[in-house]
Amino acid sequence: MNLNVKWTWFHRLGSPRWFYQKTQRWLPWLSLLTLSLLITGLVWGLAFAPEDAKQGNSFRIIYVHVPASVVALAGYYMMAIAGAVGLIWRIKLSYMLMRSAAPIGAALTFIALVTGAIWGKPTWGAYWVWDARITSMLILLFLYLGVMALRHTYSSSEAADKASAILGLVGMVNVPIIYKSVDWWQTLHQPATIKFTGAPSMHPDMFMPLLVMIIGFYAFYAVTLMLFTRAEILRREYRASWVKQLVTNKTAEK
Amino acid sequence: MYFDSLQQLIFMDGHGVYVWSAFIISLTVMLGLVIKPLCQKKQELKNIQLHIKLQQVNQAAMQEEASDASHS
Repeated sequence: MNLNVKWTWFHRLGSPRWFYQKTQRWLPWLSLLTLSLLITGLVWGLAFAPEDAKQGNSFRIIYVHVPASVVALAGYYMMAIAGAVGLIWRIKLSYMLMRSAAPIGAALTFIALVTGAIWGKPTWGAYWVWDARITSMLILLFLYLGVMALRHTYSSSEAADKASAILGLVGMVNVPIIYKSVDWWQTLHQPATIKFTGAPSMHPDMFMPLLVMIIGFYAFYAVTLMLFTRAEILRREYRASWVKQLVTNKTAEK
Repeated sequence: MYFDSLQQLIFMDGHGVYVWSAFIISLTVMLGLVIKPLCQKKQELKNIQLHIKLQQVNQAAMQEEASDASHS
Protein backbone atom coordinates (compact mmCIF):
# COMPACT_ATOMS: atom_id res chain seq x y z
CA MET A 1 0.00 0.00 0.00
CA ASN A 2 2.76 2.31 1.08
CA LEU A 3 4.64 1.48 -2.10
CA ASN A 4 1.67 2.55 -4.21
CA VAL A 5 1.51 5.92 -2.54
CA LYS A 6 5.21 6.49 -3.11
CA TRP A 7 5.08 5.74 -6.81
CA THR A 8 1.97 7.63 -7.81
CA TRP A 9 3.90 10.87 -8.38
CA PHE A 10 6.26 9.05 -10.71
CA HIS A 11 3.40 7.70 -12.81
CA ARG A 12 1.63 11.01 -12.81
CA LEU A 13 4.82 12.67 -13.99
CA GLY A 14 4.91 10.23 -16.88
CA SER A 15 1.32 10.89 -17.87
CA PRO A 16 0.92 13.02 -21.01
CA ARG A 17 -2.47 14.17 -19.79
CA TRP A 18 -1.05 15.45 -16.50
CA PHE A 19 1.74 17.25 -18.38
CA TYR A 20 -0.66 18.82 -20.86
CA GLN A 21 -2.98 20.14 -18.18
CA LYS A 22 -0.26 21.39 -15.84
CA THR A 23 1.72 23.18 -18.54
CA GLN A 24 -1.45 24.95 -19.65
CA ARG A 25 -1.42 26.66 -16.26
CA TRP A 26 2.35 27.20 -16.08
CA LEU A 27 2.91 28.56 -19.57
CA PRO A 28 1.48 32.09 -19.21
CA TRP A 29 3.57 32.79 -16.09
CA LEU A 30 6.71 31.23 -17.39
CA SER A 31 6.38 33.08 -20.71
CA LEU A 32 5.98 36.37 -18.89
CA LEU A 33 9.06 35.64 -16.77
CA THR A 34 11.07 34.65 -19.86
CA LEU A 35 10.09 37.75 -21.78
CA SER A 36 10.95 40.10 -18.92
CA LEU A 37 14.31 38.39 -18.29
CA LEU A 38 15.28 38.48 -21.98
CA ILE A 39 14.23 42.10 -22.46
CA THR A 40 16.08 43.17 -19.30
CA GLY A 41 19.20 41.25 -20.29
CA LEU A 42 19.14 42.52 -23.88
CA VAL A 43 18.72 46.19 -23.02
CA TRP A 44 21.27 45.94 -20.21
CA GLY A 45 23.83 44.09 -22.31
CA LEU A 46 23.41 46.12 -25.48
CA ALA A 47 23.04 49.63 -24.15
CA PHE A 48 24.25 49.80 -20.53
CA ALA A 49 27.14 47.37 -20.05
CA PRO A 50 30.59 48.93 -20.58
CA GLU A 51 32.61 47.94 -23.65
CA ASP A 52 35.46 45.45 -23.46
CA ALA A 53 38.95 46.95 -23.20
CA LYS A 54 40.39 44.64 -25.88
CA GLN A 55 37.46 43.70 -28.08
CA GLY A 56 35.47 46.92 -27.95
CA ASN A 57 31.75 46.70 -28.60
CA SER A 58 31.85 43.44 -30.55
CA PHE A 59 32.07 41.65 -27.18
CA ARG A 60 28.36 42.40 -26.69
CA ILE A 61 27.66 39.37 -28.86
CA ILE A 62 28.52 37.39 -25.71
CA TYR A 63 25.02 38.17 -24.41
CA VAL A 64 23.45 35.77 -26.93
CA HIS A 65 26.42 33.60 -27.78
CA VAL A 66 27.18 32.29 -24.28
CA PRO A 67 23.57 31.77 -23.10
CA ALA A 68 22.69 29.94 -26.34
CA SER A 69 25.78 27.72 -26.06
CA VAL A 70 25.24 26.95 -22.36
CA VAL A 71 21.60 25.98 -22.86
CA ALA A 72 22.36 24.04 -26.08
CA LEU A 73 24.79 21.89 -24.07
CA ALA A 74 22.52 21.51 -21.04
CA GLY A 75 19.67 20.72 -23.44
CA TYR A 76 21.69 17.86 -24.86
CA TYR A 77 21.95 16.24 -21.42
CA MET A 78 18.21 16.81 -20.98
CA MET A 79 17.48 15.09 -24.31
CA ALA A 80 19.84 12.16 -23.66
CA ILE A 81 18.51 11.58 -20.14
CA ALA A 82 14.90 11.75 -21.39
CA GLY A 83 15.83 9.14 -24.01
CA ALA A 84 17.47 6.93 -21.37
CA VAL A 85 14.39 7.15 -19.12
CA GLY A 86 12.29 6.14 -22.11
CA LEU A 87 14.54 3.17 -22.84
CA ILE A 88 14.62 1.96 -19.22
CA TRP A 89 11.09 2.60 -17.95
CA ARG A 90 9.25 2.85 -21.29
CA ILE A 91 7.60 6.08 -20.24
CA LYS A 92 5.79 7.61 -23.20
CA LEU A 93 6.18 11.19 -22.06
CA SER A 94 9.96 10.96 -21.83
CA TYR A 95 10.22 10.00 -25.51
CA MET A 96 7.98 12.95 -26.36
CA LEU A 97 10.29 15.23 -24.36
CA MET A 98 13.31 13.79 -26.16
CA ARG A 99 11.69 14.42 -29.55
CA SER A 100 10.79 17.98 -28.56
CA ALA A 101 14.24 18.75 -27.16
CA ALA A 102 16.00 17.96 -30.45
CA PRO A 103 14.79 20.88 -32.65
CA ILE A 104 15.22 23.37 -29.78
CA GLY A 105 18.76 22.17 -29.14
CA ALA A 106 19.57 22.28 -32.82
CA ALA A 107 18.28 25.86 -33.11
CA LEU A 108 20.26 26.99 -30.05
CA THR A 109 23.43 25.32 -31.34
CA PHE A 110 22.85 27.04 -34.66
CA ILE A 111 22.55 30.40 -32.85
CA ALA A 112 25.78 29.67 -30.93
CA LEU A 113 27.64 28.84 -34.16
CA VAL A 114 26.32 31.76 -36.18
CA THR A 115 26.85 34.39 -33.49
CA GLY A 116 30.30 32.91 -32.86
CA ALA A 117 31.14 33.22 -36.54
CA ILE A 118 29.94 36.84 -36.61
CA TRP A 119 31.95 37.57 -33.47
CA GLY A 120 35.00 35.88 -34.99
CA LYS A 121 35.22 38.31 -37.90
CA PRO A 122 36.11 41.48 -35.95
CA THR A 123 38.02 39.55 -33.26
CA TRP A 124 40.03 36.92 -35.13
CA GLY A 125 39.65 38.25 -38.66
CA ALA A 126 37.84 35.12 -39.85
CA TYR A 127 34.26 33.88 -39.73
CA TRP A 128 35.25 30.27 -39.36
CA VAL A 129 38.28 28.38 -38.11
CA TRP A 130 38.47 24.62 -37.63
CA ASP A 131 39.38 24.89 -34.00
CA ALA A 132 38.50 22.29 -31.34
CA ARG A 133 35.67 24.19 -29.66
CA ILE A 134 33.96 25.20 -32.88
CA THR A 135 34.32 21.82 -34.54
CA SER A 136 32.98 19.96 -31.49
CA MET A 137 30.05 22.40 -31.42
CA LEU A 138 29.37 21.63 -35.09
CA ILE A 139 29.30 17.92 -34.18
CA LEU A 140 26.72 18.76 -31.51
CA LEU A 141 24.54 20.34 -34.21
CA PHE A 142 24.84 17.19 -36.32
CA LEU A 143 23.93 15.02 -33.33
CA TYR A 144 20.78 17.06 -32.75
CA LEU A 145 19.94 16.90 -36.47
CA GLY A 146 20.59 13.14 -36.39
CA VAL A 147 18.10 12.64 -33.57
CA MET A 148 15.58 14.71 -35.53
CA ALA A 149 16.17 12.80 -38.77
CA LEU A 150 15.96 9.33 -37.20
CA ARG A 151 12.26 9.89 -36.59
CA HIS A 152 11.53 9.55 -40.29
CA THR A 153 13.73 6.54 -40.99
CA TYR A 154 11.54 3.97 -39.22
CA SER A 155 7.96 3.10 -39.99
CA SER A 156 7.21 2.40 -36.32
CA SER A 157 7.60 5.33 -33.97
CA GLU A 158 8.68 3.00 -31.16
CA ALA A 159 11.72 1.78 -33.12
CA ALA A 160 12.52 5.37 -34.12
CA ASP A 161 12.33 6.48 -30.48
CA LYS A 162 14.68 3.73 -29.37
CA ALA A 163 17.20 4.48 -32.12
CA SER A 164 17.09 8.23 -31.36
CA ALA A 165 17.58 7.57 -27.64
CA ILE A 166 20.62 5.39 -28.33
CA LEU A 167 22.13 7.97 -30.68
CA GLY A 168 21.51 10.63 -28.04
CA LEU A 169 23.27 8.58 -25.36
CA VAL A 170 26.25 7.74 -27.55
CA GLY A 171 26.58 11.40 -28.54
CA MET A 172 26.82 12.40 -24.89
CA VAL A 173 30.56 11.67 -25.14
CA ASN A 174 30.83 14.87 -27.15
CA VAL A 175 29.51 17.17 -24.42
CA PRO A 176 32.46 17.00 -21.97
CA ILE A 177 34.77 17.27 -24.99
CA ILE A 178 33.13 20.59 -25.89
CA TYR A 179 33.44 21.85 -22.30
CA LYS A 180 37.08 20.87 -22.03
CA SER A 181 38.14 21.64 -25.61
CA VAL A 182 39.48 25.09 -24.70
CA ASP A 183 41.71 23.56 -22.00
CA TRP A 184 42.83 20.40 -23.80
CA TRP A 185 43.79 21.91 -27.13
CA GLN A 186 45.50 25.09 -28.23
CA THR A 187 42.50 26.95 -29.58
CA LEU A 188 41.70 30.37 -30.89
CA HIS A 189 38.50 30.33 -28.82
CA GLN A 190 38.88 32.17 -25.54
CA PRO A 191 38.70 30.12 -22.29
CA ALA A 192 35.46 29.85 -20.37
CA THR A 193 34.18 33.12 -18.90
CA ILE A 194 32.14 31.41 -16.21
CA LYS A 195 33.34 28.39 -14.27
CA PHE A 196 31.63 26.32 -11.61
CA THR A 197 34.79 26.62 -9.55
CA GLY A 198 35.98 30.13 -8.89
CA ALA A 199 34.77 33.61 -9.74
CA PRO A 200 33.91 34.68 -13.30
CA SER A 201 36.69 36.36 -15.26
CA MET A 202 34.51 39.38 -15.91
CA HIS A 203 33.68 42.66 -14.26
CA PRO A 204 30.30 42.54 -12.42
CA ASP A 205 28.97 45.34 -14.68
CA MET A 206 29.45 43.01 -17.64
CA PHE A 207 28.67 39.79 -15.81
CA MET A 208 25.28 40.68 -14.32
CA PRO A 209 23.48 41.15 -17.66
CA LEU A 210 25.07 37.91 -18.86
CA LEU A 211 23.68 36.09 -15.84
CA VAL A 212 20.22 37.54 -16.52
CA MET A 213 20.45 36.39 -20.14
CA ILE A 214 21.54 32.86 -19.15
CA ILE A 215 18.61 32.51 -16.73
CA GLY A 216 16.36 34.00 -19.43
CA PHE A 217 17.57 31.42 -21.97
CA TYR A 218 16.91 28.57 -19.51
CA ALA A 219 13.39 29.90 -18.99
CA PHE A 220 12.97 30.23 -22.76
CA TYR A 221 14.11 26.63 -23.13
CA ALA A 222 11.49 25.49 -20.62
CA VAL A 223 8.74 27.41 -22.45
CA THR A 224 9.62 26.07 -25.90
CA LEU A 225 10.08 22.53 -24.56
CA MET A 226 6.57 22.70 -23.12
CA LEU A 227 5.14 24.08 -26.38
CA PHE A 228 6.80 21.42 -28.55
CA THR A 229 5.88 18.62 -26.14
CA ARG A 230 2.23 19.70 -26.04
CA ALA A 231 2.04 19.51 -29.84
CA GLU A 232 3.78 16.13 -29.74
CA ILE A 233 1.32 14.83 -27.13
CA LEU A 234 -1.62 15.74 -29.36
CA ARG A 235 0.08 14.11 -32.34
CA ARG A 236 0.64 10.80 -30.56
CA GLU A 237 -2.35 10.64 -28.22
CA TYR A 238 -5.11 11.53 -30.69
CA ARG A 239 -6.90 8.28 -29.86
CA ALA A 240 -7.01 8.98 -26.10
CA SER A 241 -10.43 9.84 -24.74
CA TRP A 242 -9.18 12.91 -22.85
CA VAL A 243 -7.77 14.38 -26.07
CA LYS A 244 -11.06 13.81 -27.87
CA GLN A 245 -12.89 15.37 -24.96
CA LEU A 246 -10.56 18.37 -25.14
CA VAL A 247 -11.20 18.87 -28.85
CA THR A 248 -14.97 18.47 -28.54
CA ASN A 249 -15.03 20.96 -25.70
CA LYS A 250 -13.00 23.41 -27.77
CA THR A 251 -15.34 23.14 -30.75
CA ALA A 252 -18.34 23.53 -28.43
CA GLU A 253 -16.80 26.74 -27.07
CA LYS A 254 -16.61 28.18 -30.56
CA MET B 1 23.11 54.39 -21.02
CA TYR B 2 26.71 53.61 -21.89
CA PHE B 3 26.49 55.38 -25.26
CA ASP B 4 26.08 59.14 -25.67
CA SER B 5 23.51 58.97 -28.44
CA LEU B 6 21.22 56.57 -30.26
CA GLN B 7 23.43 56.86 -33.32
CA GLN B 8 26.41 55.64 -31.31
CA LEU B 9 24.35 52.77 -29.93
CA ILE B 10 23.52 51.67 -33.47
CA PHE B 11 26.99 52.24 -34.91
CA MET B 12 28.99 50.92 -31.89
CA ASP B 13 32.33 52.21 -33.20
CA GLY B 14 32.08 50.12 -36.34
CA HIS B 15 31.04 46.93 -34.55
CA GLY B 16 27.32 47.67 -34.83
CA VAL B 17 26.92 45.58 -37.98
CA TYR B 18 28.26 42.48 -36.21
CA VAL B 19 26.48 42.99 -32.93
CA TRP B 20 23.08 43.86 -34.35
CA SER B 21 23.11 41.17 -37.03
CA ALA B 22 24.03 38.56 -34.37
CA PHE B 23 21.12 39.67 -32.18
CA ILE B 24 18.61 39.92 -35.02
CA ILE B 25 19.46 36.45 -36.35
CA SER B 26 19.23 34.96 -32.85
CA LEU B 27 15.91 36.59 -32.05
CA THR B 28 14.45 35.50 -35.40
CA VAL B 29 15.44 31.88 -34.76
CA MET B 30 14.00 32.09 -31.23
CA LEU B 31 10.75 33.53 -32.52
CA GLY B 32 10.58 30.59 -34.92
CA LEU B 33 10.98 28.22 -31.95
CA VAL B 34 7.84 29.69 -30.42
CA ILE B 35 5.74 29.92 -33.59
CA LYS B 36 6.54 26.44 -34.94
CA PRO B 37 5.07 24.38 -32.05
CA LEU B 38 2.02 26.67 -31.86
CA CYS B 39 1.29 26.05 -35.56
CA GLN B 40 1.90 22.34 -35.06
CA LYS B 41 -0.54 22.25 -32.17
CA LYS B 42 -3.18 24.02 -34.22
CA GLN B 43 -2.72 21.53 -37.05
CA GLU B 44 -2.93 18.56 -34.67
CA LEU B 45 -6.15 19.87 -33.16
CA LYS B 46 -7.60 20.18 -36.66
CA ASN B 47 -6.52 16.62 -37.50
CA ILE B 48 -8.12 15.26 -34.33
CA GLN B 49 -11.32 17.12 -35.08
CA LEU B 50 -11.39 15.52 -38.52
CA HIS B 51 -10.66 12.13 -36.99
CA ILE B 52 -13.60 12.48 -34.60
CA LYS B 53 -15.92 13.54 -37.42
CA LEU B 54 -14.84 10.60 -39.58
CA GLN B 55 -15.48 8.24 -36.69
CA GLN B 56 -18.96 9.66 -36.18
CA VAL B 57 -19.79 9.34 -39.88
CA ASN B 58 -18.50 5.76 -39.92
CA GLN B 59 -20.50 4.85 -36.85
CA ALA B 60 -23.67 6.35 -38.29
CA ALA B 61 -23.15 4.48 -41.55
CA MET B 62 -22.59 1.22 -39.70
CA GLN B 63 -25.75 1.70 -37.63
CA GLU B 64 -27.74 2.43 -40.77
CA GLU B 65 -26.39 -0.70 -42.40
CA ALA B 66 -27.29 -2.76 -39.37
CA SER B 67 -30.82 -1.42 -39.25
CA ASP B 68 -31.21 -2.02 -43.02
CA ALA B 69 -30.08 -5.59 -42.57
CA SER B 70 -32.55 -6.23 -39.76
CA HIS B 71 -35.44 -4.76 -41.81
CA SER B 72 -34.77 -6.89 -44.85
